[in-house]
Parts: sequence; structure tokens; C-alpha cells
Amino acid sequence: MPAPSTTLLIEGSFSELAEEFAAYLDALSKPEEASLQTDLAPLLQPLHEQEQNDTQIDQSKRDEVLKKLVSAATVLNTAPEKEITPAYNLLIHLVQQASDPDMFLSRICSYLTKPVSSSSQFGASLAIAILSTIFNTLAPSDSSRFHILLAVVAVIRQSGSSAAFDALKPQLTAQLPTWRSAWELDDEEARRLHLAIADAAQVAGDLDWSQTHLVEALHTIPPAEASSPVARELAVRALTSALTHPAVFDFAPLTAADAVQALRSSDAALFELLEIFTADTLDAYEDFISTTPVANILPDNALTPHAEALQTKIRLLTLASLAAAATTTTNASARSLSYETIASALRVPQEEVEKWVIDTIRAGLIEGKLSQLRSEFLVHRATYRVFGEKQWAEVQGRLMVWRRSLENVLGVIRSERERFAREAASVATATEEKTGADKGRIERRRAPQEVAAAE
Amino acid sequence: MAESDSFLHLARPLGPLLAGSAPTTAPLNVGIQPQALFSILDHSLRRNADQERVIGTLLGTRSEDGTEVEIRSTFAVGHTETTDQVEVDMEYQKQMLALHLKANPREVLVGWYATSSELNTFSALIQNFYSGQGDGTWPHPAVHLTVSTEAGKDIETRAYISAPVGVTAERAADSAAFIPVPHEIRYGEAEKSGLEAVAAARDAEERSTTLFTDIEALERAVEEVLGMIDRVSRYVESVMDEEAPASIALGQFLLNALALAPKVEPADVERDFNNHIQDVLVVSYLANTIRTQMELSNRLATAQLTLGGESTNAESGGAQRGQRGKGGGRGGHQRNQERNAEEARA
Repeated sequence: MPAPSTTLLIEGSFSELAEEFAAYLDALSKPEEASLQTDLAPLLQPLHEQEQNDTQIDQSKRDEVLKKLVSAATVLNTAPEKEITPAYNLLIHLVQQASDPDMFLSRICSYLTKPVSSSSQFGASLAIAILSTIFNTLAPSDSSRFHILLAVVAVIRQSGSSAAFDALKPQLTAQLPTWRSAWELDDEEARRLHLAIADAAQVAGDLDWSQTHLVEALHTIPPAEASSPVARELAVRALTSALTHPAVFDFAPLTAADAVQALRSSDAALFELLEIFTADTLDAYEDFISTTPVANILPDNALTPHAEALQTKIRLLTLASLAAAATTTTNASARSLSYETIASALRVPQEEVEKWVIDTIRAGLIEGKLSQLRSEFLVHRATYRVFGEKQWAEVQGRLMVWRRSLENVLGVIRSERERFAREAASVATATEEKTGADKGRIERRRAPQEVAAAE
Repeated sequence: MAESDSFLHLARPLGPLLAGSAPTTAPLNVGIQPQALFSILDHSLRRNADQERVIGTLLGTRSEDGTEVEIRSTFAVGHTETTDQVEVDMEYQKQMLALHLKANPREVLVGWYATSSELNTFSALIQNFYSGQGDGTWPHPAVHLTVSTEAGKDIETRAYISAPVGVTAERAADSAAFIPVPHEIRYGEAEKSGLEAVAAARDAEERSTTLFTDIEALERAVEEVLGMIDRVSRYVESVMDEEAPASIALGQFLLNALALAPKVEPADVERDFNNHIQDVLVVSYLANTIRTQMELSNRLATAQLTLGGESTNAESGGAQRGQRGKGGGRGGHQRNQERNAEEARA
């Protein structure tokens, strides 16, 4: 059973409701202007009669009425905050009966993206609530939903409230992919949506989300346009934010994007930096910086304020590489790194080694144990920065080991269960025999007595 | 459970202004406990044949900020619907609510349910009654839960709250805009395995099923995990054969997860398992012994009783009968009587 097609339940015919709404708008707007009610009266009169007589409704008249109502509805933003939602809900209900609701809905959306003057505190959430009502009243596959969602995201960005964005997040994670396919968005539209979300996330202070959606947007750029100025701008933005973001260590989705590949020719320095961060260590980074100072990587010194963040990040990555190299050795004693090795690789004094290791663990790149006594770091797990054939083989190998040990466990359980069942069966037969024997004895004992009785 | 619908819930309608607490527009989340759902389904089964849907009251808890509502129990409320009017037994609802709140002081009224996915203007009326001042959930929004109970189809649940519609007071009184809100059915492990056992009996001829023992459950769980490992390793294989696109993030994730997988020596498992199973066996053996002993003493006691008023038979006979009690009190008793009769004849 599909979801109920209508969730707005109101009694009354179109003409009655339209008249009430017009009266309400008149009361809100200045009385000296031409009254909407008197304006609409000649249009509503025939409609009303048609409704009464149950004859064919003149759709064009309805549309005309709606046009006037919707254009007068700008004044709704000044309504008292408690009356805004009911009034808009009524308007939505009326608009649904138009021959082409989309035309009116886009107008209503544009009203709602403007600030609500009567309620500064709740204006944004009122607008969001009404927009989501519009969103929900449209069919799930209706591509107008896309425009409504854009409006919602825009309102959230304007409000700058992280609470509203947090409410949006779980719904986006769960439904965005389905929406994208249901609305049949082309690349251009998908990019707009992802960029809008990224912007809203940035305003709300959620850098992770902003980064993910920037990358998503980047992937919507078709290969043919990879070197266009728009694509370049987006790629540079995504790259800079990825490189400077404290929690992004996986650059593979970036390198995979065509627009980023196109930077190889247009922004060679930035691309080289990306390659260093993808696979190389601190040594390569310092070599690179000595020839190309940070200020020269991007025009306008864009990266200069982040020089320190870059340095920190490459150190963490270098440590991850070191640890990964240590785990691949088969020799168990070589799975630890001495403090000296770490200190020289990271170019930090030995007393700071522990701090760096802890930072790297915190970033989720490695796991292990620090031993102060022996001045070494025992690696339990490390993230491989380059994930190739060898690593996949390792995954497969470990899966096999796990599988084998589980199979063993299963074998043990089975044999035990069978043994248990066998034992239980033999115990049962044993008792059966015993009770059988008891009865026999009773019979036997009875026999002499019966003989006695017979005597 | 059927697929959930796609909708957006970001803010609830502005609540009434209250002294001391700021009105909030934070979105709402609804959790449903399975026992509430079961009692709704039960109610739906008992409805009159001509009734399209039945309604009832939802009770549960509401978090302090009102963003989390949990439906814990329900009771049915009688109502009749005709084409142009609806009657709800409000007196009954009030009394039931008062009684229920006495028994469960921690629960509050949270809303109402209907056993049809359809929303109509009567729904709006009832919704306004439940969310109203006085007997309703005011100042919190009332939750409306619809559970479709059409036989042979999947059960669909939907949760709504409402916003007013209309610009005049009388219009707003009998209309409502239902706003879908996210909801989930929260069931625990125990409920899940219980339901699984019940469901297993569904297709059986005699409508009965045996419960799994611990060891069988363990076996099944291990088999399930093996199945999952197979699936993952098929994927990894296809990546290595370059048949499937390699996702580096997925690979990293797998490697990290596998770093945690224990490496167990088969001999160790066998030893540990045997140690444990020995303990279990001893416990179950002792339990069985005790049970036998109790049975034995029970039977002995009843055997004595039945023999109490009996003839002046020789002492040896009494002793024999006592022993025979082991075989089966009642039967022995009967045989005794027969034999007594025989003796008398003799």
C-alpha cells in the first residue's frame, strides 16, 4: 500500500477556502491597497456555482485565482509566527489543485527563502518546516523535490544553525542516493546539490560533511569538461580543503576525479603536493618545499596560512608509512619501531616521539603499544597508504585464516554435539534397561508369594 | 516490514508558548516497542467485520526535550464511523487512561493509532482531540501511528505529527496537516529470537517447533559468520581478478577489521571447549540426578499414602509394595488390590 497521497486534510471546497485565504491576506496587507477579496469575487463566483452544481470545474479560472493568491502571498512573511504555518499549509493545499502546481510552488519557495520578518528566532525553522511539508506532499519521484531540497539547504545555510543541519544529516545519508536516481538529476544538477550541501555544512561548522560533498561534486564533472575553469576552481577548492583538513588522510577519491587529474597540467605544483601526500614521506615533502615554497603553490598565497597544518599532516602520514612497513615484515620482533627511527624519520626530537605517535593513533592511522622502558613502539595495525594488489592479497589471506579457524571451531562444536547426543541416547537406553530389569525383579518376587497364596 | 517512504522531517511546527520553557522546533523521533505493535495487531484482529479500521490510545515515554517519543503500550478505544460522522468513546478513553496511568505512573499519553494507512478528515478530527488541551498531549504534539493490517500484505507502519491548516479558527478545528516523522521499531535480541522461533512454527504442519539449544544456536551462528566470510572473500577475489572495481576505502576497512580477528589454534579451541562442555555435562548430570531423586521420593510418598488404609497384610508384603512403588504408584496399587482380592478368595 503506498503512502497516503494526501496528508493535508481540510474540509471545504476550493472556492470557500480561497475566499477565506484572500480575506486573511487582505487583513495582513495594508487596507488602502485594492482588496484582493473584491478582486477575486468575480472569479470565485462562477467557481462556487460550479462546485454547488457538481459540474465540470473551470480549471483556467482556478489557475487565475491561484496566480493572484500566490502573488499576494508575499505578505505572509509578516504574519504572526503562530499563524504562518497554518496559512502556508492552506496555500499549499490550494496550490495542489492547480493544473500546474510546480509553477506556483517555485514562487512559494522563493518567498520562504527570504527571512520571515515577524519571527527572528524561529523564522528559519518555520520556513524549513513549511518547505518540508511541500517536499512531502510531492510525489517521491517528482523532480520538483530537487528544487525544494535546494531551497531547504539554502535556508539552513542562511540560518547558520548547526542544529538544523544536524537534523538534515541523517536524512541525507539515508536517502540522498535514492533521491538522486529517483529525480534523474543530471551531472550539473547533482553538482549544484552537492555544492549547496557542502556550503551549508561549512557554515554549520561540519568540515567532514563539507569535504565529502565537495568530493561528490567533483565526481559529477564529466571527463570532457575536466579542464574547464569551473572544474579547475572546484578541484582546487576540494584539494586545498582536503590537504588542510585535519582528519582527511585518504586522498584516493580525489586522485580518481578527472578534474583533479586535469590539474596536472594547469596547477603542476599543487598536483605534485597531492602526490606527495598520497604516497610519499616527509623527506619528499621537504625537498618539494625547498624548491617550491608554500606561498607559490597556489596563487594569492592561499596555502600559506596552512603551512603548519601541512607539515603536521605529512608527519602523521610518514609515521603511518613507517608502521605499515614494519607490519609487513614476517619477523615478529621487527614489528616494533625504535624511538630513534621514528625521531629521525619525522625530524623531531626524541622526547616528542610519543606525542607524535599518540597523535597518529588518534587520527586512526595506526594502533599499537608504546613501551617507554624499551623506547620502542610495537605496531598492532597500520593503515596502508597505498592500497594495491599486495594489500588485497593480505586481506584475502587473513580472511582465509579466519575462515579456517572458524571451520575448526565448527567442527569441534559439531563433534561435541554429536557425542553429547550419543551419550544421552546411551544413558537413556541404560536407564530403560535398568527399569525394565526392576520390573522383572518385581515379577519374579511376586511369583513365590502367589504360589504361597495359591496354597 | 515494507520499505520506508521517502520524506523529509527537519522541524516540527512551532509549539505553544509556555511560561518557563522556550517553544522548540526540534525534529521528532518515534520509537515503537514491539509489544505495543502486537497489541495493535491483536486489536485489529478482533474488530467487527464491517469496521474498516479501529483506533486506540498510545502510551509511552517522552524525553525531557520532547524530541524522543517511545511508544510502549496501547489500549483500544471504541469508535464508530459512518460516511458523515465519527463517534469516539471519549468517556471510556478518559477512564482507561486514568486507570492505566495509576498502574504505570511513568508512562504518559503520547498519541493514538489507527489500523489503516488511510488518512481522512476524521483522522484530522481525532488527531485534534488527542493533541488538544486538557485531555490531550498539549503542549506536546500528539503522535499518530498508522499500522496497515490488510491480510496477506506486509505490515506498514507510519508515524505522523500534525500541524494546523487554515486561516480561520473553525476551519483549523476540523483539519490537520499530517507531517510524517521518522520512526523505528525497537526490538531486542530476546524478542528477535523469540519471534524467529514462532515464525519457524508457521509453516510446520502441527504448528509447533522446538527451541534451539545453546549449542545449536552457537553452531548456526558460526555457520552464519562463515557465510559472511565467504561473501567477503568472493568480493576480494573478484577484485584481485580485476572483475570488480576496487574500492580502496573498503579494502582499508576490511584490513582494519581483520586486524582484530582472533587467530585461534584449533587445538586450543578443542581444549577450551571440552573443558567447558565437561562442566556443562557435570551440571546437567547433577541436575538430572536430583530430578530423579525427587521423582523417586514423590512416588514413594504417594505409595505409602495409598497403602495406608489397607489390610493387615504381613509386614513383608508392605515392604514389597514399597519397592514396587518404584515401578509406578497407581499401577502397583491396582495390582495390590487385585492381589488382595485373590488372597481373600484363597
